[in-house]
Amino acid sequence: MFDRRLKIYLKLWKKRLRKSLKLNAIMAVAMLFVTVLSLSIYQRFHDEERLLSTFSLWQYTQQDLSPNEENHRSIASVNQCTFNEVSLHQIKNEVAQLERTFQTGSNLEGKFYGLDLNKLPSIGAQLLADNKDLIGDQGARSNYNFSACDSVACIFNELYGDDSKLSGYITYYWYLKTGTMLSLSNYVPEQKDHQPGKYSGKDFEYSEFLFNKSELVNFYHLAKSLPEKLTFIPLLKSIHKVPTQAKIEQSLNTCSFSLPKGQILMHPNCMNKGEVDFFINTTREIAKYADRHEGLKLGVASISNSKYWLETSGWQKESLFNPISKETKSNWRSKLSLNDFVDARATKSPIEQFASIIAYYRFQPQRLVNKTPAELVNWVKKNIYHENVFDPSGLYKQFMFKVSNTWSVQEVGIWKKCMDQTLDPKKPIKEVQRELANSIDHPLYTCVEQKVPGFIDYAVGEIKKNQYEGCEFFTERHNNQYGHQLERFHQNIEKFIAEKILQRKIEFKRHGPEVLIGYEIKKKFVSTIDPKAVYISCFDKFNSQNCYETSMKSKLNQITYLHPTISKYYTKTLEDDILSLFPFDEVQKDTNEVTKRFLAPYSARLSQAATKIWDSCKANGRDEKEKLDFPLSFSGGRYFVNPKLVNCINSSLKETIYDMAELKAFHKTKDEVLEFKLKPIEQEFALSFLQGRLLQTLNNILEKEYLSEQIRLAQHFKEASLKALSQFSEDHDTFFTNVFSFNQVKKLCIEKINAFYPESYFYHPTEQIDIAYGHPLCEKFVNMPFVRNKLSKEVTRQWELNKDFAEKVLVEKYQAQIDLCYDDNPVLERGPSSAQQNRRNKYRRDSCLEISYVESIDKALAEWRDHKNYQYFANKESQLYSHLKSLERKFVRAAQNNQKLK
Amino acid sequence: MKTSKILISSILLLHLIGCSRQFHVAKLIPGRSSIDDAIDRLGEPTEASIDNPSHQKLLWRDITVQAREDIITVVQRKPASYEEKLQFWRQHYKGSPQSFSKVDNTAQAGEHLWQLNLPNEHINIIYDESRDLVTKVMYYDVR
Repeated sequence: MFDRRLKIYLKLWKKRLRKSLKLNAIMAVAMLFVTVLSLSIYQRFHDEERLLSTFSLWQYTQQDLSPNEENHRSIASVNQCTFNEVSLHQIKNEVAQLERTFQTGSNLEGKFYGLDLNKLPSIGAQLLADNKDLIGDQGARSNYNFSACDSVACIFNELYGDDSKLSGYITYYWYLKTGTMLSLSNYVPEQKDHQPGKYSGKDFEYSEFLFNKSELVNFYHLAKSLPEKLTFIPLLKSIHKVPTQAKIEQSLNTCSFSLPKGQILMHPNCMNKGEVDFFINTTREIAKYADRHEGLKLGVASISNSKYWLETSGWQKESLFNPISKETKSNWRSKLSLNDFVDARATKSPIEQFASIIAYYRFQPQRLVNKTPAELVNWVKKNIYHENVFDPSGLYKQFMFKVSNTWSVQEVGIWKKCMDQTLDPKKPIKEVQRELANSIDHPLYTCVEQKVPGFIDYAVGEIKKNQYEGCEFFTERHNNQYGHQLERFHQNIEKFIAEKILQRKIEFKRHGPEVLIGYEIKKKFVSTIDPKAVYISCFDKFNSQNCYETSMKSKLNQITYLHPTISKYYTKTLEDDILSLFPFDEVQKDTNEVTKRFLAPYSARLSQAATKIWDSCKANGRDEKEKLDFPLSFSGGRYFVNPKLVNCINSSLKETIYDMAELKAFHKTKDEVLEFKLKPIEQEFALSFLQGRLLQTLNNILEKEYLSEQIRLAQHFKEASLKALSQFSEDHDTFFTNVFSFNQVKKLCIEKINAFYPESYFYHPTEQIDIAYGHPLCEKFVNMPFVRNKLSKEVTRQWELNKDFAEKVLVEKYQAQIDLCYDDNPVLERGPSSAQQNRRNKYRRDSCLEISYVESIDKALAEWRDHKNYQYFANKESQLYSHLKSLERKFVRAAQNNQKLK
Repeated sequence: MKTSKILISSILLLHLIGCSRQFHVAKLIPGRSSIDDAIDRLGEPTEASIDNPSHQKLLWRDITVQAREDIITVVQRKPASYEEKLQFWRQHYKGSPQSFSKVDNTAQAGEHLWQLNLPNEHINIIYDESRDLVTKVMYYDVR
């Protein structure tokens, strides 16, 4: 029944297809779409290159490695230990290896005191170009000539004057490992006296600003101990030494201090009390920048000031302002007891607490655990240390993981190599399986087992080379601290590898060809799927770990689909294998590390681009009436910046700066230039590491610009004030004619003084220049003895004129009153009663004249108040009144005697 | 549709509540308003120390009030979003005398706090340089 219906439908479709052109077209498009889709899926499975992230491609090109290569080349370093002493040979090798990992293929043109930058590896050239201010005696830089040097370390050694050459190499090594400079300059950032070498009110030799060899050796060890999150922090630029006989200017009672613009100041007191003390003090300062950087990633200004941290630690800030003294007192209070703080500094503020926890977590974990709330320790463990622990058992776990993981990565290669050596490729697979199943000492197994001791030596050697505690942990004799864990390590790592081999043997027996296919799949996965690319695609997701693990499984499934014979059980085994091979935390750490290396040279370009933007925005001029466009990415920090300049920089930031700096790297081979340009998602990921760096760069530019403008303004007004004063003194018409008060002259001066201001200034508003320079200058002008004299005369003259005017009005008004008084009380012609009448009238007239005078004063003053110059003499009204009153007797008598008033 | 209506009205409501609090804070005038005015307008404080008449202090979640003999001398509040950058204050009061200085003793706590005092306006701004944030806006009375 159903078949018949289907047949009918099909026939009807065929008919409609033949008749309808539209339907035909739709079908054709659909077919085309299906074909393209299939092709793209096919290509996705087979295009190995496209699955690697740009960072990995770049990394492999630098190191000339492929991801699945069995790499035992460093086996020579097995017995080298950096714990007790640092060998020049070893550090040279390490520097060379690190330099290779930074090669971006772009060369820097120019010279550094005679040394051609083009001859240096790109990272070294960028270091010199980017940190010129941090290298050498800043008071005697013109004397330098490094043309005889062929490396960055050579320049540093010349400055250190170190014959052993170690100091220069360690300084360079520190930079390559952490992305920050150990300053070789005698100018300490934000020092009070701008003269290099002068600090804390004293003059110091250049060498007193340089780290000594034992301090540098500690930096070398620290470089090997810092977690990934504390390296290449974009907000941290340099570490400076403060001379022994000086104190840190900003904080006299501390021996280490971090400045907001990316510089750490270290006093020898923080560096000479043993290695662990050195590590803790330095790490604590570095961690303060991680606090801000990690905060920015989470959308808050810093972790330690986030709601979570403040609530967990019960921090509360108390600020009290004294309106009379205008002083603010600010203190942090925590609800935690003193026993919950790892040391005294941690009690000071959330920032110090956060930084101390990070430092102690790494170097005194036991003390930290006993004296800090577990929740905070766990936060640091998860978010800063990628779940690693550094007590003996934690180190055991780390090393176990490292070696077992390395085995898992290389296992496929080892088995494959042994298979090629021991199995006959001509034999059918079933027969091979039978042979393997029937023998426990098949040559294949023996071959793999023989490679185990060599592998362990290699893996342990790598740990000793790269991890600070490595050597101490693997010391066989008198190892009191780690002896027990070392024994455990040896037992368990051998057991682990033996079990793994046994597991593979069983798998061979049980699953036969499936295991071989599984190896193929794993090999293909390792060589084609880049966990870094998978992590990057998930980095900004809400649950990035879940996203990562799901994506890894899905990628594996894409490969297993090509092998339909493989069972579900074995697919699951493969999934577990892959996830333990590439655990989330490790991949996250590795990806962050390689990205930071990729971006390291970018910071120099970023700084050049920022300077370019700044200059071009300044070229547009200033406009103090422009309104700020909120929100502000670049705010100007603590300084005033002309609003036009702020707006211009902010609008240029997003669009221009990343294009100008070009987020890409190159690799030059003999025949071609490989370009590594980041994909959009990678660019987004990369930019998350640069967050804050750009603002830091702009703030550093502003700091320099502000200081230079401040000095320029002071110099300018030194000259301009003389010019202005002399010009004003001669400007008779403006300042000495028709002037009525000192204030009026001062106002006139302020109006005119603008002409003597510099043409351009961006970091001071005109109103503040008025306050700082204009007003004091005009005050000075009106108080110059010569000016004061001249002005006094003119002001007196004008006052006299004004007084005369008032007197004249008074006379007029009084005269009118006099007339009225006379009219109302006339002198009668002689008559019978005229004498008596006249006597009475005179008495009344006299009274009228007396009263009228007072009224006339009021009227005269009223008119005087309408005079155009009243404003200048308003404060002299009572004086004027007294004057007019003093004339009363004279005028009234004249009026009574019928005489003229004037 | 219904959900969006509810959402919009809740946002409006929250906004209104927020505005009204800002309005109440603005009505507290140092030198004129009293502690009782503050409590009437802001509700019961979360913390208060008023026993010493020359140093009285009341704390709310977002506001701190200092007083002397029950008359408010200082009102401290958090900055609005547009006030969080010091540049805003620098520009807005560029015509007024400005005194910019470090807040004493904060360096030891690893902080870089500055204060921008505007004596003519009776305003004091606290600025955290490390985080590039204005953290407090203080209005005060000088009498």
